[in-house]
Amino acid sequence: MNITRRSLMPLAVGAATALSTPGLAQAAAFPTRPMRLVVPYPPGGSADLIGRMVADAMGHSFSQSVIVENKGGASGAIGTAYAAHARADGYTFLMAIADTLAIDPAVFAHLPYDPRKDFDPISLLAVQPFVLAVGPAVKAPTLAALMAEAKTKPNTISFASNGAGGLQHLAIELLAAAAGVKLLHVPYTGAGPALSDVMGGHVDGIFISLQAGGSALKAGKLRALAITSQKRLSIAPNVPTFAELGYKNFNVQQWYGLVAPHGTPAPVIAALNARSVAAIKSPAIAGKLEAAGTEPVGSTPAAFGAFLDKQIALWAGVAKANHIRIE
Amino acid sequence: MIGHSLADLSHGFAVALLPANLLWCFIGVLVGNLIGVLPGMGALSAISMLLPLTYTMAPVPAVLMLAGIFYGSQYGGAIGAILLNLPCHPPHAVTCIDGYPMTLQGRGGTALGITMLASFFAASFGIIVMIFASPLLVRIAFAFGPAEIFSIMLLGLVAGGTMSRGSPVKGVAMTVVGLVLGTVGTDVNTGTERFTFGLLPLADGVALVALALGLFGVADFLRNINRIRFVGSGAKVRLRDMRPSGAELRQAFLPMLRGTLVGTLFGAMPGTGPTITTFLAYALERKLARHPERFGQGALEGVASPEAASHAKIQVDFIPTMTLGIPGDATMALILGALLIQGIEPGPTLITQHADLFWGLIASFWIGNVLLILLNVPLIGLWVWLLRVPYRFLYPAALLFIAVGVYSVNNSLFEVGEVLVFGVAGAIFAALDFPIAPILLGFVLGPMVEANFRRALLLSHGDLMVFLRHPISAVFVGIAAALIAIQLGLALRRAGAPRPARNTAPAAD
Repeated sequence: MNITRRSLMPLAVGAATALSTPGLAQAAAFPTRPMRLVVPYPPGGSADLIGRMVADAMGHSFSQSVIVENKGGASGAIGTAYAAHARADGYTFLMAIADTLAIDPAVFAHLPYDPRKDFDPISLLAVQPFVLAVGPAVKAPTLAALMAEAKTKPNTISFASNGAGGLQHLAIELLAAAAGVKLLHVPYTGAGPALSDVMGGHVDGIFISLQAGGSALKAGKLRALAITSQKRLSIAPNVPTFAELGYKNFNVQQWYGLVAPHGTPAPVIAALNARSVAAIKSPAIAGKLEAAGTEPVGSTPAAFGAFLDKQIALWAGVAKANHIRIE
Repeated sequence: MIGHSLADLSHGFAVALLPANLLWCFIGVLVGNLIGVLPGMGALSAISMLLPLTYTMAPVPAVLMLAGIFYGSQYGGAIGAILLNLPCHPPHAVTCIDGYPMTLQGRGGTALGITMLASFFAASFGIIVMIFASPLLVRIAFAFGPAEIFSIMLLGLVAGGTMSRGSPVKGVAMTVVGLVLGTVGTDVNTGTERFTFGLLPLADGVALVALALGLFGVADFLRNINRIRFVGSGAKVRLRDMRPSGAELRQAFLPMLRGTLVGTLFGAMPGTGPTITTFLAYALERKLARHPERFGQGALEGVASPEAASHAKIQVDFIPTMTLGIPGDATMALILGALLIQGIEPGPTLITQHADLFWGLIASFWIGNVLLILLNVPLIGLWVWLLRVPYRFLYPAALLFIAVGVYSVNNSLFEVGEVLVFGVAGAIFAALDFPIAPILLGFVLGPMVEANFRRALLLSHGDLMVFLRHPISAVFVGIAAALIAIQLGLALRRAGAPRPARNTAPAAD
């Protein structure tokens, strides 16, 4: 594990510094003390987990520890705003997900940060598709059958989510709009209780990541009707993609990326990018993520910036079309 | 089936008793136990701090250690509640009600002894349930949907609304205060913020840890400053006072058993926190008691039952986590994450593909609990001895630990401020003879009642009959209605009788 990382490192750093010759001296002096990765959620969730794995690997390759600081609350808004106002010196960076940087700006009337003005992208670390899973209460064998049922009985097929205005909620609205049906949204506080009620047959379905719902699917407590990834996943080869089923552009994915407070020097961003990309692509981390149904990416800052713009536009459109607005 | 489980379990003991595994299990429970004694500082912060240590460890010792921290921290939680009226963790707040009066009567050692016994008994029971009845318990848990959870929480609210001593009107009023506090935060259905006054830290509601520590611990400190020199009557506790007498054991046995059953039932349901569990266990005990007026004055049952419930809940919590991959709370989610980092997928495949880990973990639960008992029985003497520390040193030290502990939960200074506010409020309430426990009861049950009520109605399209059509729900609604009817009947009869002198009036239930 260490050998691969070391052998990758000079290449990655070389590439990064070559891109940013003006700040070479500055980049060489970074980091001189421990850094912190702000995770805007309490310990235990996917964002925290990926953050911890990457922070640990980055710490080893920088020879400076990267401390994970959990700053939970207000669906990630507290920690994200906290990072937005931190010093832009590269010693503080943030774990960003679809909810905090792309969906919340579209859904919440008042947000204590601006997703593009307050942050400079470092790298898109990973994307995580959702499966549309149904519990024992649903007899429909396919997605088409379920949507046909929803058409005849509007507002009866129920879908659980981890909270109003989150990615799981918007996925439900997007599906309803795409299929031309009305679905009943049942919000919960957190994915755990939501998943439990779907498995118990009290609610019909849920959009869930394979990491959270994989074991229930394997146990037959849940049935996957479709997956939002572009291609079928090797760990769930029997689950058709939405695209296969005729839902073009049903691009609902959770993603995890690193951003730094706006104004962080470019060479420092490049160094953080190189180390984090190497970390997420290392077999030790990539293998675990893939096994759990999450796809490691590791993009350039520019590519992540373009991705962010697209995501922000996508969710702004969905929120507007479905009148989802939280005051 | 049972024979098979036993064979697997003996294999599990072989795994758990390997010297390295035993060592990590011991380190886990020791760290957990020490963390548990500190106010506010919970297993979540301890596990997240020690998680990096496990990256390089083998999966079995890593999980054994992390799990040990989790259940080990429960043992420490009751100590502050009993000796200082300081609920180091919210689930133990209810233990203050009778545990602290016991300390003031010089029976703190007995209370701790009973707590340890109840903990061990309940944990052992929970482990046995895990081994033999996991599938059954999961089925029971799945039978509880929004309608059922609403009804059982409503019953808890009705039964617990008058759980405190003294004027029932004051008790109900304080429950309402708790309910009102519980409405602060983001509305589950719409995402709209309620009563947050634009303060972002209130978006997730008032912090339970801050509320419990403020209302009980800090409020008590504020009232006691310059009034007492030692907690209790000072250095009267001797080592042999810790051993509960035979009569006390008999008195505590049934409450312990009932608390264990309550904890086991709630353990399998993700989302029902341990605080709800302990408060309901206490309310149940008081309802069943022949002399409910003893509660609040150092009734042993009021310590044994909730403590048993909390430990049973904690052990049984592992069932949905391990067998379904659904974490019951954030700490469980973190342990699941640790498994994932180890490249192990929790869930049904865990038992077949990682049999040594699953059965080793279960065996280590029991070994860990034995270690905790061995660790804690001698420590009781030390804790009680701490009461000899003059109050003027004890309470500033405790306040410091409270501030650090509360901060550690969410790295939030705002929540430390909440502790202060609730401390002052609690002291005022106590001075006016308003009971404090019902605030916490209303606070933990209210949001559950509301969310599940609205969820059930959402699913039934606004049809209220849903609560009577579901059989389990109907039973709970029926019991709640009966309780209210009995209460009204008693009140009417009392109104008819001549009014007794105020200070000799039987404490109304």
